[in-house]
Order: sequence, then C-alpha cells, then structure tokens
Amino acid sequence: MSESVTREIVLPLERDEAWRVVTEPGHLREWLADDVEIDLVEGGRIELGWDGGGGRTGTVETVEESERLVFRWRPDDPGPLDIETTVEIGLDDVEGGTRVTVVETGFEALATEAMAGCSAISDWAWDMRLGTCGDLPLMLAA
Amino acid sequence: MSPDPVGTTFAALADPTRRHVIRVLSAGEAVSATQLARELPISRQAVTKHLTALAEAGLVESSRHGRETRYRLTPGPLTDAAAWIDHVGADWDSRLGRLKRHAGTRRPSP
Repeated sequence: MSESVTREIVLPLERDEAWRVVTEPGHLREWLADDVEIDLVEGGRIELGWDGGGGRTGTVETVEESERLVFRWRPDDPGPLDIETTVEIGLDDVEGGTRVTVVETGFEALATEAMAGCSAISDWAWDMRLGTCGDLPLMLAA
Repeated sequence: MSPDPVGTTFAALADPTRRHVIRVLSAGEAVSATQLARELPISRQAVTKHLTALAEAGLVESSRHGRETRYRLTPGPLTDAAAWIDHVGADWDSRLGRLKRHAGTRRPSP
C-alpha cells in the first residue's frame, strides 16, 4: 500500500541552510504552522498549532542532518480525519540550490475511516464534486 | 465490538480481480454481473462471488431491475479518501508556497 502525496520545490539555498529552514522552529513558523515545537531527535515530540484553530502532534522518526527528516503526525481534535500519517522531508543538491521533497504517506487508513461512516469527509468530498473513484482502489492496494 | 473494518476493506481490495471490478464500476453506471463478466476474463459466477465480497465490505451496493440485479459503487468510502488526499496535497502546495517565499526562492530554470 503506497498511497501518498508528493511535492517538491527548489530553494536557492545551500543544503545546510535549507536544513535549518525545514527543521528550526523559527523558520517553520514562517511556513508550516503558527506555533511550532520540535525536539529534533529520533523519538522527539513535534507539536504544531494554527491560529485559525487546530493542531497536530507527532513524533520525530528519523533525523539525518541536511538530508532527511521523517515524522509521524495526527490532528489533535478527535474526529473522522484523525488518522496518523508519516511525513518525509528530503533534501538533495540540484542546480540552483537544494531540492526539498515532501512525501506524506499513510492514507490507507482513510478508506477505513470512511467505511466507518465518516460523514464529515463525505460532505467534504461531495462539496468538491468528486463523484468518481478514479484509480484509488488500485493505489490503495498497490 | 464491530468487525475489524481494516480487515474487511483490505481483504476486499487485496484481490486484483475485485480491483478490476471496482474500476469498471467507477465509470458510474449500475451494471449486472453478466455485463461485468463480459469485461473480465472470469465467469459470471466468479464475478458474482467477488461482488458479494465487495458488497460485504460496503464498497458496492446492489439493486433489482426486473429480473436482473445491478451493482454500483457505493459513493462513500473511496471517493471520500480520494478527496481527502487531494486536500492534503493542496495543504502542502500552500505550505511549500510559503516556504518558497520565506526562502526567497525562484523557480529553477526548466
């Protein structure tokens, strides 16, 4: 099962600078969340909060300085979307700077949550007018 | 305790023929086992067996049309998950947009 979300951008920064931008609370507050606490060691705690409400809490899984940060997180508010996913932020050198690749995985649980009668996701889905299921079953079970 | 939904869903989706059935049904129309069997390299009986498993997992539902039973995809579970994953992707787009601005990024040349 490998359903995932992948995004990447290139920052005009050296790798060590890019690492700071994706791991230091002062920088993370500029782009990831309004409140950020992160204990940058394996097994360390990560706590994120947004001014608009809501928060996420998780655990740092892997810290490979200037290369890779992996953490698990889940929303603080119990609810149908309360599933734990894993985020991997990888850095590598490219022309013009450092490529930041974000891969979030663990969405298999969503199918299960939805099966359990998840009306919140359901309303949301229909609002988005997503009336077909596309290739998702294949991706879920790949 | 209710039955383990993880087990039910993934047992249902673990079988490649059943995923094929789901894909055919994702076109949206309610179809009969006979129609499905024409699109799959298996017998009508085998199709019916797979449809029963999918129905038990809540992924498809059946309705009677005269003498025929037709099956369609249940709109909930899979579309919900697809929509949510899109939403997660959109979140990362905006986060990384902020990161790019924060880092004074310019797009790499193509």
